[in-house]
Order: sequence, then structure tokens, then C-alpha cells
Amino acid sequence: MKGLMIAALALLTALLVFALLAWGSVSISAGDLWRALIGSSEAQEVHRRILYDLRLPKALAALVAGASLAVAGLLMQTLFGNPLAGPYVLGINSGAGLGVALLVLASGGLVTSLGGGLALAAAAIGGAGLVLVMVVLLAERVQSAVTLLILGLMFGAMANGVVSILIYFAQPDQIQAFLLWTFGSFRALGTQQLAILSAICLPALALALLLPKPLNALLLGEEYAASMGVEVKQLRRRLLWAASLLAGAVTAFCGPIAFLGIAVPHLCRFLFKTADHRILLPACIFLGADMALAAEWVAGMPGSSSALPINAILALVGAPVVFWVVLRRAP
Amino acid sequence: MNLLCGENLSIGYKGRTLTSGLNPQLRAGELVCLLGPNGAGKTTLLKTLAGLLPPLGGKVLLKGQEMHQLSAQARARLLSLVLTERPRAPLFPVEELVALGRQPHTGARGTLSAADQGAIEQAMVRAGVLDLRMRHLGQLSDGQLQRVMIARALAQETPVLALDEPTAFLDLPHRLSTLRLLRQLAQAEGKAVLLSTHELDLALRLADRLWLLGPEGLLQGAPEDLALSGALERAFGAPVLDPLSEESSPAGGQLRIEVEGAAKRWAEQAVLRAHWRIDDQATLVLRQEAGAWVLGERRFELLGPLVDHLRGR
Repeated sequence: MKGLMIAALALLTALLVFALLAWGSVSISAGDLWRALIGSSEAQEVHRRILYDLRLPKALAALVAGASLAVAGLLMQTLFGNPLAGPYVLGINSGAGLGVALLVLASGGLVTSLGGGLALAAAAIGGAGLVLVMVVLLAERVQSAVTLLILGLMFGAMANGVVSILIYFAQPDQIQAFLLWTFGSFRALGTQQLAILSAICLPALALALLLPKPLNALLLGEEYAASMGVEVKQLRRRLLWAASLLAGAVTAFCGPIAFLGIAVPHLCRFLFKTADHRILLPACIFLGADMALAAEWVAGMPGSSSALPINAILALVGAPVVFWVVLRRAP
Repeated sequence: MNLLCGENLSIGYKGRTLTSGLNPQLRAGELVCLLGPNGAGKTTLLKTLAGLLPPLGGKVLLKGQEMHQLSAQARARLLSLVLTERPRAPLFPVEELVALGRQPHTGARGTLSAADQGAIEQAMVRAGVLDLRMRHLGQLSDGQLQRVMIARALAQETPVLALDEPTAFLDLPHRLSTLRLLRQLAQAEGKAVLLSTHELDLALRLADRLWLLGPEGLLQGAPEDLALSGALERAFGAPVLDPLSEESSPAGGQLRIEVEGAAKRWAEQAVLRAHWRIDDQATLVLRQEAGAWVLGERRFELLGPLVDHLRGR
């Protein structure tokens, strides 16, 4: 039964990828799509360009980013035993934001748009990596996961403070460039960026998929997990690395997209009525990808040539989910 | 045989020593209650013995092996734990939670074999939670949740079972049934059961031995001996005892008690606890001579060994 539901989510992923490839500002028929995809000599050049330069990269970016953020959120919620934890509680997005802000706002206008591409991603990865290393180092010394959570939030607050000061002294066009990054987008990735994103996210996802057994034990808290044979410090280190790499890489290339990480794990729990990570991990991968693909498709407004910010679309779906969870838990 | 013991143990956390020079010993087949006033370090001692906290001095031996040289998995096959912490996963199904107890015995994926399934079911039967198997944790009362957590520990199939205040937050019937289950595990299955509790009266009636953690360090002995020596009242700083009701259980034999005063009461309790009957016409007589207990031809320094003898150990 649960296997079938996961298969259904996977099928939905395939359908959404198809929808994203076929319908956009221009519609492409299934036949033309197939010919362009396999590189047939009958394919029209314009179709091939649209497919390979525009739609395939953004579909793959949404696929990897959605799956990564959902899994990162699930790992953090289980590690911290906190239903409102997400991939960004450790301040990783704020670190990435700081890196981007430093680049865009302090470069004196050299980088003023998302076209900055790799430089922008490098700045975001640098910022996220800085926070990540500090958090992982602290995790070795801090006993309680909740203390770690608070320290992560403080890192985030500090990074945001620096960003605010940078914005205060910045030029309007620089502020707009930074603001655009914070909106989130799956469209800024070329083949090179996609390769880097996948090279970071796929191994981290594979690591997470190896851990359902200790993650299940961790649902009872770190002490119970230890009493059932889990090497807790090692597990904590692995979870922090995996979640940080996933969230850091996605944030670097797609901007800070917080809601997927918080909302998707809860949706999966209520949908599958289980806390078992053997079910939740694959469910999060597919449902996370589904929501990212669907949001990208809606944001792209098929038939029109403009696009809405992805975070706005996701928040409009994600916020009601968090409302629902909080209200359901209230006494 | 000592399954779990500490040697010259110092306990505490973050480098701050609470108390030291402890030599606790836990044997197979006995139920030991850890008593002591608030703040004496009961939980700290329990967690140190369970390997969750490092000892600040001395060492902990689990089945003869030093605790901190054992892997987490090896430890989990020997000792299971029930803590006061409540799981925070309301959507966790009861059966899956009990199944977590099999983790030290399963492979990397945690796949359950038929033998594992059998152990899970048996654990739920013994803890009396089989009818809750399809529920989620969020739907359980405190008493039910406590029994589910005990079922999980039982599914772990360890020779040692340690519980931190398993009767806190339970009403009297649930307290009694929980303690009765634990005593049964010790007596019928030979497990070594250690539990910390504030239930002095219940501990006095049900425990084979008490560990008394107080200003004098850790005192160990049969409940009756600790009561008679006054150690119990010194540890708590107040009179703490209530009369014992007779239990209806098959008698191992009958004897007559020729002792006066407080000693008589505790001797009676010890005899009753060993499931013997007290009969004024009996030919076997229990006396006190020069501070020792004499039963027929045998002498006992303390009531604890006498109970062991009466039980035929």
C-alpha cells in the first residue's frame, strides 16, 4: 500500500517533468518533444534550443532542489525533535545570503544580476560553508541538540544583521539584484551549475538513504537511540553534513527556498500516517520534487512569457500546511 | 552473578562530581529499587551505569566487560533502558515503536526476520499492550505509553533492564501493575531489573534489594535490613514506613517467629516476601541470637540472605 503511494508520487514526478517540458510560453507537442529530446534530424532547431537551453535545466534543477530541500528538512526535524525545524535552522541560508550580499552589494556594481552565475554560486557556497563548518565544529562540543539549534539561529541572526547593514549602504540596482536572488528561482542554472548542484546533492541524498534505521531510533531522542545501539555523535555529524550540503548547494544556485524543507516532511507524515524513515525518505524525495516542479510550472504561467517568484508560489502553498500542522497539534 | 556493577564509581556531569566511592552491584534474577531524596543523583547513577554518561572516576562493568570499551550495539544487546523522556512523534505507530527494540539485533536496513516479529509480539503480550498495536503514540494515555516503552525494552531481549522512575505520572493501579510486571520479569525470566523510584512503600514491598543513595553514599541491602538499621530513615531524614499487607500466594513453607519489637515486624515481612507462611504452631522457629538471625540450625547475619534461603536459592 505505502509502496504503491510512493510509486504514485514518482509517477506524478514524471508527469510534472513532462508538463514542464511541453508547456511554457510556447507549447511543444509530445511528438516534437520526443524528436528534440533524442536529437532526431527531423527536430526543429528552435524546439531543441528551448528544450536543452531552457526547460530541461530548470526541470532538473527543480527536481534536485525539491528533493534535496525536503530531505534536508526531514533530517533536521528528526535530529532536533522539532516539528518546525527546517533545512535552514542552522543559519545556512543566512550564511549563503551573506555571501551573495557581499558579492552583489559590495562588489560596487560589478555583479548586478543573476547572470553573475558561477560567481554568485561561489559566494553563496562560501557563506553557507562558513556557517556549516562553525556548526559542525560546535556540534562536537555541545551536548544537546536544542543548544545547537539555538546557536544556529544566532548565526543566522548575525549574518542577517550584516546583510541589513550592507543593504542600507547599497545602490537601488544592487538591492534589486539581491532581492531577486532571495525570491528563489530554478531558471538561473546552466549545464555547468546543474552538474555542480547534482555532484553535491546526489551523494548527500544517497547518504541520507543509508540512515533510515538510526533515524527511526532517533525519534525517541538521543539517549534512547544510544541505548538501542546507535553511535549518536557519529549519526549527528552525518546528518549535519548531509543537511548542510543539501541546503547549502540548493540555496547557492536557486536562492533561499525555505518552505519546501518545512512543509514537505509534514505532508509526507500525514499522507502516509507513519514516522518510519524507510517510507518518509523516498516519499520526501518524490513529493519535494513534485512540489518544486508544480510550483515552477505555475510560476512560469504557461502561455505567458513572464514568471512569478518561486518563493511566493511556494509560500502560498507552504504556509497553509504549517498552519494546519500547528492547529492540529494545539490542545 | 553480577550482571552490572560499578567499581569505586564517581558520578556527576560536566566535570562536577555529585558523589563518589560507589560500588553498586546488580545480580541476575533480582529486582533492585534505587531510592534516595531528590537531587541525590539517582538519574545520574542510572545513566552512568547504562553508559549514557561517562563515569568521572572508577569503572562500570557490564557482564564483566568494561562499559566504555563496548560498542553501542554490543551494549544495546546487554542492557535496555526506559527513561522519563517522552517520545515526540505523535504519529509513530505503537507496533513500530516496539519494533525499534529489535535494532541491536537486525542488519543495516533494520529488516525484521520472523524471529524478530515473534520477539516483538511476545514483548507486547508481556507488557499488556497487544491491543494497542494499531494505535499511534499521540492516542495513548501516560500509563499506556509507559507500558509501550517497557514493551520496547523487552523486545530488545537484554539480560539487564534499567528504568528511570517508571511509575512517575501513573495512578496507583498502573503503578502496581507496572511494578508487578517488572518483578515477574526478574523472578520468572531471571532478568536483572534496576529501577529508580520515589515509591518508597511499593519499593519496600516489591524489591529484592534496595540501593539507597544518600549522604552516606550508596547503601545496599534487603529492604528489611535497611529499615531495621535505620539507614532508610537517615537517608530521607524522616520516618517513612507503612505496614505491610499479606500477600496471597502459594506458601513455600511455614515457620514461627520468636522475636520482639520492630525486628519482629521486619522479620515477618521478609518471611512473607519469600512466600512463606507465619504459623504459631509451626515447628521451624526463627530467632535472634547475638545480633544474628537463626532459623533451625542455620545462622544468617541479615534478613536478605534468609529470604534467599527460604526461596531455595
